[in-house]
Formats: sequence, structure tokens, C-alpha cells
Amino acid sequence: MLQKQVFLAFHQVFGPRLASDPGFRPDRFGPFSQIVADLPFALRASGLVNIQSKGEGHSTYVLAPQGRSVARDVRGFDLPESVIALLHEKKASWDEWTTEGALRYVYRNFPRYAVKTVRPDLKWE
Amino acid sequence: MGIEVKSHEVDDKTGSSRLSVKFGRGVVEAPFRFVNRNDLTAKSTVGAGLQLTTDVNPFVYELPLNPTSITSIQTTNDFLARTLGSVRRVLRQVNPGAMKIFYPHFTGKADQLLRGAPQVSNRVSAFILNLVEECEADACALPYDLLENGGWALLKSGPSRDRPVIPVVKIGDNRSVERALDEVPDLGGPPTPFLAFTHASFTRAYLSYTAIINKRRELHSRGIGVMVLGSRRNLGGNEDVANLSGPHYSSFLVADAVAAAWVGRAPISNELGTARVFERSELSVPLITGGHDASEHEGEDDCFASDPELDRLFWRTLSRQNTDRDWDAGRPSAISRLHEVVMSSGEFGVMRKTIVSGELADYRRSKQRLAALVERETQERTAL
Repeated sequence: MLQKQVFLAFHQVFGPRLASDPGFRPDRFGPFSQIVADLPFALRASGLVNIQSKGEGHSTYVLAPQGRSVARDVRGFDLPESVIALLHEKKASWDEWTTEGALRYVYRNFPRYAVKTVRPDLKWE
Repeated sequence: MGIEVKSHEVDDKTGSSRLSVKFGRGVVEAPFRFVNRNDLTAKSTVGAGLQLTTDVNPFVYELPLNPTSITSIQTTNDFLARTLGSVRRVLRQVNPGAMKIFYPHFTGKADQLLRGAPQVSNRVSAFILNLVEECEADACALPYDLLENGGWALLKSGPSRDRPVIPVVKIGDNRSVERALDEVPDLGGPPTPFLAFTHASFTRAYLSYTAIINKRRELHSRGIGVMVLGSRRNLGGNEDVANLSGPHYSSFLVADAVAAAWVGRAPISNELGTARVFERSELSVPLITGGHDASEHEGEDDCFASDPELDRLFWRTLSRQNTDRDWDAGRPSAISRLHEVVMSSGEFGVMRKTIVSGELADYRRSKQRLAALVERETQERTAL
């Protein structure tokens, strides 16, 4: 889900002008970025994020106290309020999907990331 | 943590009231309709970019316990952990700002099984109370029978004694209904922001409904709303009223908050006949048929505006185009459910506004078939 949410945040909220491209490529379960896969571990190593295993098969990423102040600084960047509002709105909508729902949405809207899929049944066409 | 219900404008003729329901992370206004697991599944099935909870309405997790579950509760060591895991997974899936209600209840057969076996019943009650203590919902809706038989005392002294509890009374049992109406406001212990009832038509439970209607204003004034859980999507039965919307029927009778029943993981259907759309003019959910008039839904694709594919699917479904591919994976049912949730929730918003402006009676009259049905049923029976 983290991969899909970062992918959608880059393509539908920030765009290449506000964020650097995480380098997504098509993989077995849709878009995959090695940077996104590595970042949580780098953030944990630097004490900004805690990773909790809650429930079966889930990792929950929680900001550590130090990470909270960094996040506040990041919010203070030149991000327009409209972008932050859009991110809030989209995030709420993305959270309501199951992993299959998120994948189906990505395949429908970005079909070129479905070329290597192991779940062709989720493709729209 | 907690839920606070305050009554604002009241419609004198019907006793309907606009309620503000304040919980830990925000405020929602009643009357409203809950999103349930079927709606989330529909959204995932279509892969729709559309927010259902918080902006539209709160979420209810319904957990029906059948005889197999009763056996598992007594024999399977990790059944509690597995159930809790699936409850948590779904509650976490819903966006964090939404109000979340957890509603475990017994199916009819499980209820029969428990009635003759007090020891089993005690074990099952303990299981449900364990679930309630561990899950992360804003409130738990629990069967009133369970609360009466020792559950309330346990909750009162347990670690979750501050978490709101919503007693759910079977509407068919008028004695329980009357008892609950008298006792619940003065129970003490965990707060009770709502008193909930199961769904039935007025004619099947007219004594219960009459008692609720008579007590409704008093409940509102004491900060307790009326909830109906397990409402049918459409009323069914008599052809004339079969397609009328179940949640709106409940709200016309007594409900401030209403949740449609969770129908389980229905098999994916290729039948076109399963797709329904919500129609505001009559508050009905007719099946999409060959003769369906798509022009009745002009402008309703606004809610799908952020998703052009979904928008196109909506019109294709309504006009029965390109059916060969669309019926794979049950898309029509899914789109109709999404359409129904968004549009019928919007209609609850319209209803709230008419309470504020004192026009609820006019609003009801404009929904001729439902108004006539409710009026006919309530007048005939209350006049007895």
C-alpha cells in the first residue's frame, strides 16, 4: 500500500514540479520504486520513523518525536495550501481501499504499470 | 473519548430532530446513513477514487455470529485473535477521521442455540466483551439481551467503562423495547449516546414503533439518538413499495442514524438484474432494467468527476451499453452501490436542511410513495 500511495501522491497530488520522481517501474504488483522501498528503513535508522507490526501482514509507520518536528518543517516549505488539502482528501479516499482495490485503481488509470502483473484479473480491460 | 449527542431543531409533527453527534475527532450531523463493509467492497471492486467516510458518513462494522462461530468461540484457541485481527484490519482501512461503530450480533439460529444453553451463552458473552475491550472503535453496539444478562455490569467495572455502548434491541420483542426505552437513559456506567433497534416494517412491529415514537423526544432531550441497524436496502414484498429505499423508510419512521445490513461476501454476479440505482424523486432503489430512463440521473455523475472511467461506467451501466465486458467482476452491482451510498447520503443532508427550515412535512409529502406508505401504516395501526 505504501508503494501505491506514494505513487498516487506523486502522480495525482505533487507532480514533477513539487516533488522529485521516485523512479517507479512496473513490477509484479504494479508500480514499484526501490527508493520508496528503502526509505522507511533509512528513516527508521535515523530515528524519524517507528515501524510497528500491527495485525497480520501489516506494517504501520508512525512518526517518532524527532520525525514530527521534521514533518512540521517540511509542511512549512512552499507547498500551496491547496496541495495539502488535496493530499488530505486523496489520502482519506486511498485508505478506504483494500490492497486489491488500490491495485485495480492504479491498473485502470496507469495501464502501463500493469505489464508485469501477476494479477491480470484486476486489470480494467 | 466519548460521543455526545445534542438535539437542535425539532420538527413538531414528526418528532424528527437534527442532532449533532460530537466524537473524539469531529462532529457529524444526524439524520445520517452509515457506510458498511459492502460499500467498501464495492469501492475496492471498482477501484474508485471516491471518499465514502467522514465527508459522506460514518462507518459501521457488523459482525454476525452464527452457530459455526459459536462453536469456534468454544473450541478454537486463536478465534479471538483472528476475529480481532480482521476487525482491526477493516477499522484501520477506514479513514482515521471517521466515526467507527463495532456491531457484533447473533444470527437467528445462533440466538436459538444460546437460549437453551446458559453456560455457552456466558462463554460467548465473555468473548464478545473481550472483543469490545480490545477493538479500537468509537462505540460498540451490543445486543440488549447480552447487556441485561450481566454484560452491563461487566462493562461497568471493566477497563473500557468510558467507551460508549449502544444497546441494540430486537424490534420484534416489544417488551424488551419498552423496557429498554424506560431503563437505558438511567442505566449509568458506560455512556449510551444512541439506543439502537433492529429493522422491521412498521406493520411487523407496530407496538414497538409506537412506543419508540412516543419516547423519541424525551430520548433526544436526554442526549440519546435513535439508531436502526440492519436495515434492508430496498423494502421488498408488495410490488408497489418493493423498491423503496430501506434506510429512508427507517428514517421516516424513527431513525436518526441508520445502517444497511451487511449481506456478506456475495458471489460475483453476472446478472444485470442485480444493479440498482438510487432515485431521489421517490427515495427508491429500482433495478436497472431495459426501460430505465438515464435522463433521470442527469448531473449525478458529479460525484464521479475525479474519475472519468468511473463516470463513463456509470452512464454505460445506466444505459446498458457494452454489457459483454462490464458484467465481468460484478461491476454493475458495485457501481450501483456506490451511487446509492453517495446519493442517498446526500439526500439525508437534504432532509436535515428541511428540519432546520421547518419544511420537513413538505419534504416528506414530495416523496409521495414513501410518505403515503408510512402515513398509511402508522395511522392505521396507532388508531387501533
